[in-house]
Amino acid sequence: MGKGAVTGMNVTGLHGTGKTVAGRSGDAGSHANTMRSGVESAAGVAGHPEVTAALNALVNDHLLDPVAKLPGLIAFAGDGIANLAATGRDEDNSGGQTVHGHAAQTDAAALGLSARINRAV
Amino acid sequence: MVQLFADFKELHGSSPSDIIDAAKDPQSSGQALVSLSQDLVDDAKKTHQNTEGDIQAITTAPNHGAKACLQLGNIGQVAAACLTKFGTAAQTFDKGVDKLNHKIATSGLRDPSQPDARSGSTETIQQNVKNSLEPDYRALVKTLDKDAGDTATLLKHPNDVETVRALIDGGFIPLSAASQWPGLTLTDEDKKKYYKSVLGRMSTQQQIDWVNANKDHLPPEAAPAINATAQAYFAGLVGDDFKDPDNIDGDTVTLLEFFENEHPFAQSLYDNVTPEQVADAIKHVNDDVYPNGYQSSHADDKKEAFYRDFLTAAGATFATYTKGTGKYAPPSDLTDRWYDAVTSDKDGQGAALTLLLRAGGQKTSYDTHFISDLTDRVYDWEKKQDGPVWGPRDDDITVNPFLTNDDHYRFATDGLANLLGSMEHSPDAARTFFTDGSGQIDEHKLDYLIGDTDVEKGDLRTFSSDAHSDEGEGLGAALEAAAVSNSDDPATRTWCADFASDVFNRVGGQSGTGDGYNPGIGSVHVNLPDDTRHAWPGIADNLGNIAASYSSDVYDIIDGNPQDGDGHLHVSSAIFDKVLGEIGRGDDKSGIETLSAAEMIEGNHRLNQAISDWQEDHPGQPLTMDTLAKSGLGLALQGRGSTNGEVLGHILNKSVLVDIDDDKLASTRAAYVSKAVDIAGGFIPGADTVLGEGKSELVKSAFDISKDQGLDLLKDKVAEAPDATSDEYRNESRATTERGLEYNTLNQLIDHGYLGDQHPGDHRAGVDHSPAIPSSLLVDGPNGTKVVNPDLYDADGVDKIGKTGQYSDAQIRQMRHDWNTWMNSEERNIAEGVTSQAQDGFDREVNKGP
Repeated sequence: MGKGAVTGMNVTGLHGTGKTVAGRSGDAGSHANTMRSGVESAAGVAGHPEVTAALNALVNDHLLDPVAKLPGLIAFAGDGIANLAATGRDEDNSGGQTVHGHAAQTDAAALGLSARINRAV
Repeated sequence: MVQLFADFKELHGSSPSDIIDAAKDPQSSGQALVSLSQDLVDDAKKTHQNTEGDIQAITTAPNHGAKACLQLGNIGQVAAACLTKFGTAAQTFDKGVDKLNHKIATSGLRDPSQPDARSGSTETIQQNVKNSLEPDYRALVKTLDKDAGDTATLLKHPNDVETVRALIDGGFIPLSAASQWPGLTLTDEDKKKYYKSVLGRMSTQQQIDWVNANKDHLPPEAAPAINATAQAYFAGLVGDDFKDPDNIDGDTVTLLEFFENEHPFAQSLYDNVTPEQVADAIKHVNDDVYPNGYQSSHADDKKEAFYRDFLTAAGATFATYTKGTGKYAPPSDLTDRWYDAVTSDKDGQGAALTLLLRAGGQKTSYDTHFISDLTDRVYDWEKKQDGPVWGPRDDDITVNPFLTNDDHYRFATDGLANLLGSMEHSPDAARTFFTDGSGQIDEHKLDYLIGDTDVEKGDLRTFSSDAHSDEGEGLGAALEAAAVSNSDDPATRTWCADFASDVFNRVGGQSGTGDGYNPGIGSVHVNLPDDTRHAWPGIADNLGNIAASYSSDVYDIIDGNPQDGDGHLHVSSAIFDKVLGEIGRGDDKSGIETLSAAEMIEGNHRLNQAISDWQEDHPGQPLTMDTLAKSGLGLALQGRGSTNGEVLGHILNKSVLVDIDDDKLASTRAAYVSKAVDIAGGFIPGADTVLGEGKSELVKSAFDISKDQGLDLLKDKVAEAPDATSDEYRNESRATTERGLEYNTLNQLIDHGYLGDQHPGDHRAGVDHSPAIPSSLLVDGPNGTKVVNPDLYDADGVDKIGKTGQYSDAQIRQMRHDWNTWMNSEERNIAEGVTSQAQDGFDREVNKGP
């Protein structure tokens, strides 16, 4: 893609990537929870009170909140990308119709536009 | 039975292995999160590829998740590493307790044959022993508690790179994982600590297995962590290869390279092979690489490289051997043994052994006494021989694979030349060799090796390839090692300057004006007219390097203002001009390139000094560009620029431009000037067109090229850059030079405070006090200074700067904005005017003909 004062997107590719990103939230949540519970268990195994206390503090101060938020953060990012692609497709279809109406282009040409849009901003 | 000391489980309820096992889940799930983070980064790239224009909020969205994943994953790694660390400490505690308890348990055992050996009940005896061990146990508990405290401290700062560094140093996070932590830069010392920790927890056999398993990529930092027993094992393998040279192969070289700095290895190897066996091994490899003798100029490149690697590693290991102290000290008769072997009549033995010493000496230093004493004794021995000395002792001709690929220039036959070359990185040894019994420069040696202005004096020896010598390469290395100071000690600097002067006066005094090299300074075997006497080609680069290390004196000699007193060169301008001619002769122009760059650096220093002097002479003047424009400093800099140009122009006119045709004179001069400015810019910031990557790091440090380490760096930069006469410098020369000179001056104005607040003391509202040159365009320079970012030095640097990959998008936008603001500012106009005055003076003088 070249540079210029144009915003554009490959709708199909972008939508797929967004879905992929969103799909990773499940794995992320699972790994993060396993990690957190592993550290929690380790706190009980460490034996030495100073180490146990430090491990419990690690869970409270650095893990609980971020672990809980991680799946949502990733899903939000993925959905956002997918939604942008969907929005782009809707606008593209609308644009295609307009082009079809005003320039009497063929359906095939209008459909061709929907694969990739480039609109001035 | 008394109650034994409590182990970790009895004290804290879980076993050390439980703790280490507990690290597994955080470790594996943490690693999974790190991998996921990379997947998300890849997703962000795909998102970017599928969009166009400025919609960053979406294209960078996966990066936020990636960052969160990475941070959590890294915390998991840190937690796991801390658990392993503490579990390991608990294991150590238990081992200590076991030992104590074993002493208690066995203390009550009676020897049936000596029933009266001990009195009292078993329990009483054990209790007494336990009581006596109580302090030891308390020490173990204290150590355990300290480990617990250290671990807890690390856990409190899981995102701190210093926490990660400590865990890597301790061997609890793999070195290979270090890149997961942004902002963490490991030093060589960190790597050494890591391997010391990891390998230190292995048995000798495990260490041996580890070396064997990693032999294709042995990290040099790991070598010191291999224990002496394991090192001796590998030294035994290499020693066996020396004794049966058919077995010398890549593994031999790998082990030598890996352990070349380790004293246990070096001692185990060279205590167990004789010099004769070493010589046989070298000759064996030599004959394999050059089956048709020295004239096989088309030897297999890979085999030849192997030969060089073998010689270098075996030589460097021997150098380590000579430097051993205490229990690793070499035998006191080491020099005797090697003297006997080197001067032996056995064919090729002297050549092979001195070639080994030379190869090692090209890489590292030797024990001062060993190498200077050996060279001195061999020198005396050679002088006492009648007729040819080395040739008859090397009938088959040993090849020096480090010399240029020319059949007539690759001989390792000349043992004394090799020994001189072996002192390349042993300056103390070189000075010792060239010092006589009364502490003065040994003029007899210089008479013999270089010759005297009185050509009839002395019995000069030859370094001619016709006599199977090396055309002065080894001699040049020794002269440079002795003449360039490696110390701030005034006595040493004085000796070095006197020695350098002596060498220059001898070379310049004998230098003829005719063409050709034979007989070469240092030869009386062919009686040719005096005007054809010239320095051996092999010492030209060294003469240039020596002069470069006295760049301030050279500047003053050429400027007609030579400095007197100790520590300065004492050479007339007429003699030095002849030396310049010798430096510039022949194909190797590196000496003159190094000297030219050194004089540009010196010129920059003097421009800097001119500004300082002007400030001193005009106290109280505001440090603003407006004041500067009206001050007359521009004229002062023009004068200094003129002298700088005069000095560099003179050096080139008297050396490389002597034999240049008139139609190529200007372009050749411009190319040499361009390279000098380009190289010098790395030391004091300047243009960065040809020199390329790595240069920007140079501007952040100060280097003293009057000493060997600084000079070595300058030589490296000259060698790394294209030749001055290459197309790169010919094509770029004008633009490169202008930019180099402009930025040199600009940085000096910054250093002197002229590009800061342009309205100091004006406290009225609305007055702009921001610095004239925006801070985003500056980086840290040497000694706490600021310099213009060298990445901006290219004419199109501001456009290319984003491609270097080290700046964020926001930083790039800021730099581009600030750069354009600066380039259009009044202060920049004034700076350009001042610079152009200095440049005009330089240009006018540097381009004058001879």
